[in-house]
Amino acid sequence: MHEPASFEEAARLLRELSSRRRTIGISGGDAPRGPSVVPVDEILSTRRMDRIVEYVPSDQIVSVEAGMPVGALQSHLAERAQRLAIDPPEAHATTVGGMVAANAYGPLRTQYGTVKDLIVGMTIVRVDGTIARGGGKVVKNVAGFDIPKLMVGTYGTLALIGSVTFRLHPLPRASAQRCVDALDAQGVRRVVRAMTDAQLEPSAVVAVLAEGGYTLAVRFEGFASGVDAQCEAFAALAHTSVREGNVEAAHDAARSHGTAGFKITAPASHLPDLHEHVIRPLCGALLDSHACVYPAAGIAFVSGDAADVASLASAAAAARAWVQRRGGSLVLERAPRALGDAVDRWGAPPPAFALMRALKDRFDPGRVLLPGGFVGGL
Amino acid sequence: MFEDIVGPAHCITDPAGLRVYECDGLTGTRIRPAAVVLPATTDEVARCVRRARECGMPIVPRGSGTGLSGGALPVEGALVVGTSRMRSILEVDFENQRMRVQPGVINLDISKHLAPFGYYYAPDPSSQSVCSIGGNVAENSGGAHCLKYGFTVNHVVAVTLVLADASVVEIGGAVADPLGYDLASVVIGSEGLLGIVTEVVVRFLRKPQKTRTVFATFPSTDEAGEAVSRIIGAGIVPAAIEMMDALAIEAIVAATRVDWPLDVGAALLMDVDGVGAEVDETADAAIEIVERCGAVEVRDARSEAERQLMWQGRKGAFAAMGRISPNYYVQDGVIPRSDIARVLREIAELSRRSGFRVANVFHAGDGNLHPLVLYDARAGDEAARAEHVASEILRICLRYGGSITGEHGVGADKAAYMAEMFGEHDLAAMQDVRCAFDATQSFNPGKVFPVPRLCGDRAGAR
Repeated sequence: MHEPASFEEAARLLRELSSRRRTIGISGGDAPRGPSVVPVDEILSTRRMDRIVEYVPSDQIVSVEAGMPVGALQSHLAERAQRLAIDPPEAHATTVGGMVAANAYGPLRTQYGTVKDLIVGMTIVRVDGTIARGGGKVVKNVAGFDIPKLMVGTYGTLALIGSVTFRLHPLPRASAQRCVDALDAQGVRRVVRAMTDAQLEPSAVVAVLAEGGYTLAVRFEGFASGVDAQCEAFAALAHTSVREGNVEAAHDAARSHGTAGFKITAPASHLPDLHEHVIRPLCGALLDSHACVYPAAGIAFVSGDAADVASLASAAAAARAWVQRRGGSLVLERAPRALGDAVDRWGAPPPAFALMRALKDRFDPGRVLLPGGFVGGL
Repeated sequence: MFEDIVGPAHCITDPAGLRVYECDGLTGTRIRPAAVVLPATTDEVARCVRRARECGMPIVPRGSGTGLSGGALPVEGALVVGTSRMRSILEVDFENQRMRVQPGVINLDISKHLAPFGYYYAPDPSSQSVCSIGGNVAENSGGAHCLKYGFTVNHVVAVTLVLADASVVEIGGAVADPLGYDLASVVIGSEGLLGIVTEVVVRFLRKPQKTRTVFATFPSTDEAGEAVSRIIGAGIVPAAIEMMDALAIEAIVAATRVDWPLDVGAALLMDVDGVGAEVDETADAAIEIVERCGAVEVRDARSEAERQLMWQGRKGAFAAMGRISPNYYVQDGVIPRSDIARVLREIAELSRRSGFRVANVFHAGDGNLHPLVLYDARAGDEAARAEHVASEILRICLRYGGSITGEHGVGADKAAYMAEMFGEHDLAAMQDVRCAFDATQSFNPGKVFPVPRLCGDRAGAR
């Protein structure tokens, strides 16, 4: 394991290892995680590159090195009543670089979007040993191609993410969470649509699957007057009993519990069918299954322990075929090796795959960065 | 030579017809293209691209031609592919808040189409009543309200792109998190260098419950800048905060129906939107801050008509410059927000030293300046000297850690400054992206990159 402490050191390592044709997995910790697990010769950990490079509270901008845990960054920002409005699961253990490389997010996605919506700059270290900057440290900037956004979700297959600059938001002055229990998928969809119709602006909307159906959890944030008004409006439109509370534990379980984890995307309007044709069968094929849905975005996470790999693999294949017909995807975020061997972790390559391959060829001509670890064997 | 593809009426080769296409919103430089085609479909665009490539013609995509950086400026012998006939709304999916349109659709027409249903498309460049969505994609256009809502890249989820080999490819997707590299993020804002966008899928938003618009005047830009900092510092995220200095106010009052006072040093125009109760709380708080910062007068728009008029004043600011100067050169630099007052003082000093008046009208919330250098093109070498002043302003922005362009794009106008903002390796990474899409560099050559470089060349140590 290599643990460079600076961009220059990382650059020397990358150039040296790639010139020897050693394959490299980049990680914030001990090994790459997520769907891109393939055997590599060398692990390059960013954990020693963990400084805050620049933090200007009055500009609501922070530049941070890739190895800093997201949780530690948030604690630092909270001292100035600010936050990075991205809340990936296991924030204490997830590094900033890992979050960006995996395009990780949590329920705040509902209001704030994903990394690409908040990233304004990046420094990358390339396999040829060069260090390149993209974007800048101002919120608004269209000078040149947006290399920082391009690097989001690339799982370390194009370059090493050295540091990232984000746009920040104020910590909300007030916050409240409301839950509605025992909804079917149709009911979840109905309440979410009703919130849109009522022009409510929840910061987070998540539904978790429990015994008696879905529990829909909604968070309102901002100033007290707006939070109160939205809670009141929400109670009125839910047409059923509303309680205070959150579903954090169940959400986190659906995101990270067990040996197998699936991320599924489909048009948000298809939620009821998605439940019938994808979520339910997958849960049925898992032991100790958990599921959550981001109903406004059209995303579901299903997790559990893989017992019978063959039946789980066939459930996954059927589920994938169903969502792909509707423009969605199914990704094995975590899978025991046998399952990963039986089902492609990513699924069919997207239409623009030839361009993605050309991009990989330009950024990693020797194919040393996690070869075969990404979509379509990139 | 393209008549058989687009029809003789939509292929322009006569000098008089070509004159319209010699420049875009950057009118100082004009180059006559070899031909202009106005295709109606993706297939026609692809066939035009194939033929142009066979003939060795560079290809310059063009939307409404309102760009201010010369992004649609032709090059010698070029084929200009205009999207002005591709104006159909192809599909609206209210359930998922997605809309598929052709690239020539006018930005504002998207929101007009959605308005009866209570939805709108957020990015609102000042030229939104004439600029096309395809042009917005090319430039990653912003607008006053991107402070809260983001830019084109945050609202366009997929595009259909015709590549240099005339193939047609879908980039991105209407569903969340499309698989693979996020090519849409780099196609949006690529200024026509990677291909021609022939369809665009936008995500649209529900209208907010309430919008309050506040207009305030100040003795000088110092107090106005301080008010902006304190409003943001109070945890308020306004939808927009715009600043205008005395010269800009003078021009706007002369050109529009607004009744703004002329004896002030600066004005702020602010929108707060969202949930009704919160809008009232935060707008009231913002007004209190503005008053504490020394506002001369505060107006809280009482009607939608009054709101609209205030914004017409702001959005008409560039055009209004014609009332106080024969010509102007608009700049688009960005600085960290907290440096606004300092940078404005430096610009004022530059103005005094150079003898050129500089009007300032800009997006104060995100530090995106639009200094307008006023000059008279008929007076000797004023145009060249004004351009020099404008370039000095960009260098000030870079000195403060900012950017040479916040929303107008690099185009032909600012390509030379790219090397001042970015290093060799930074540009090499961008060049690698370009070569992955178009190794022949047939699309929009001479734009964005400061020095032409072949795709075989590699910068740095390899």
